[in-house]
Amino acid sequence: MFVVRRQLRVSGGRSIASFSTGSIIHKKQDSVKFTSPQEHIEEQKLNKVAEQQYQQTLLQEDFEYNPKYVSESKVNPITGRPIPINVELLKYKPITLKPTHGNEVATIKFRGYEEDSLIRAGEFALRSAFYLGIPTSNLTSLKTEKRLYTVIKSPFAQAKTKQNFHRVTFNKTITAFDANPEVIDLWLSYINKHSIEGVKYEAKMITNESLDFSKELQSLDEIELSSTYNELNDPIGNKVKELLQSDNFKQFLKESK
Amino acid sequence: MPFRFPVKFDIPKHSFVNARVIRDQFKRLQYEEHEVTRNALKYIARNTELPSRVRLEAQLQLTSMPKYTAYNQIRDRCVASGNSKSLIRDFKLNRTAFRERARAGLIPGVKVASW
Repeated sequence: MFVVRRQLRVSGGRSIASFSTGSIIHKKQDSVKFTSPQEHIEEQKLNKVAEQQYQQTLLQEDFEYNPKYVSESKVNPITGRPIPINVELLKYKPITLKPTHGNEVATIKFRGYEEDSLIRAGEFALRSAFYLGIPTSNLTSLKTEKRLYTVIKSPFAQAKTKQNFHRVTFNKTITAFDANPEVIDLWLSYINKHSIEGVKYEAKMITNESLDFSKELQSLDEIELSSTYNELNDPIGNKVKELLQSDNFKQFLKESK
Repeated sequence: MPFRFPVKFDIPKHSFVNARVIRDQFKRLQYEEHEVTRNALKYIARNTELPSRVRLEAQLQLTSMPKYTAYNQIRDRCVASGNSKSLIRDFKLNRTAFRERARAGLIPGVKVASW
């Protein structure tokens, strides 16, 4: 795993997305200068030459390879190299990014009978969130549920002697902040792809709508809420209708009128 | 030997089978079939807006339906032994079947408790 760092060249008016998806750094735009067509053509030519020069330097230049390590002296016997930082970090508790705005975007709930597998699933989610740039809370425990089952030990009689069994269900959560819904979708699908057996995953996504959301809904042509009530789809309701219209009931309905 | 149930039906494949399990299965299937009718009749019988003669007729029809179409005839049974007594609902198992399996570690998450 080689990590080669290159210097990014950023032109004047571009915006760079920072590591966190929540905040976007906008570079201040220079006051726009209008150029004549000839000037523009010359500028373009200069740019082209500069671009070619840059490309050539890329090909000629030797890249400086300086990956980060936590412990440089420890060398992997197979590769003969120290262990890269992202692999080394698997030994430690996951790093989380701090929320920039504090808007709760998604929560994942983990549920299972073994705490170890829950921690494995949760830390996997936290690490993937870190590399995707999603600010998250730490893996927090919720209330563990204990269900006790007391049964008579003997299959027949001797009802005084009992045996206790119990099932402990552990619960843990992660809350994600400030990320875009697309990134959250990516994150959740990645977690889903690498989900562990014996852990129940429950994700809740929170989205914000504008205040006139109900107006927007009404203006939509496709959704017609009122028409759904016109046709009775309830099987019991239909049966009641059918029964009351049958000859047996009709007769009594007429008599009462 | 004649078929002892009024309607033909499949023998349950998911569980231990004996005469009582089959009887229960028959009731379950019958309840499922007549659920809509029973609820509709109940609705008519209990609706105070309808004339009393109609409500009485609905009640009579309801009571004239066979007993095996009623929900209260269904009883939960152990999947492993067919027993209906001291059943643990979470696992659909009788106490002895549950204890055997729990001790063998076959039920996920269940352990011998000590505190």
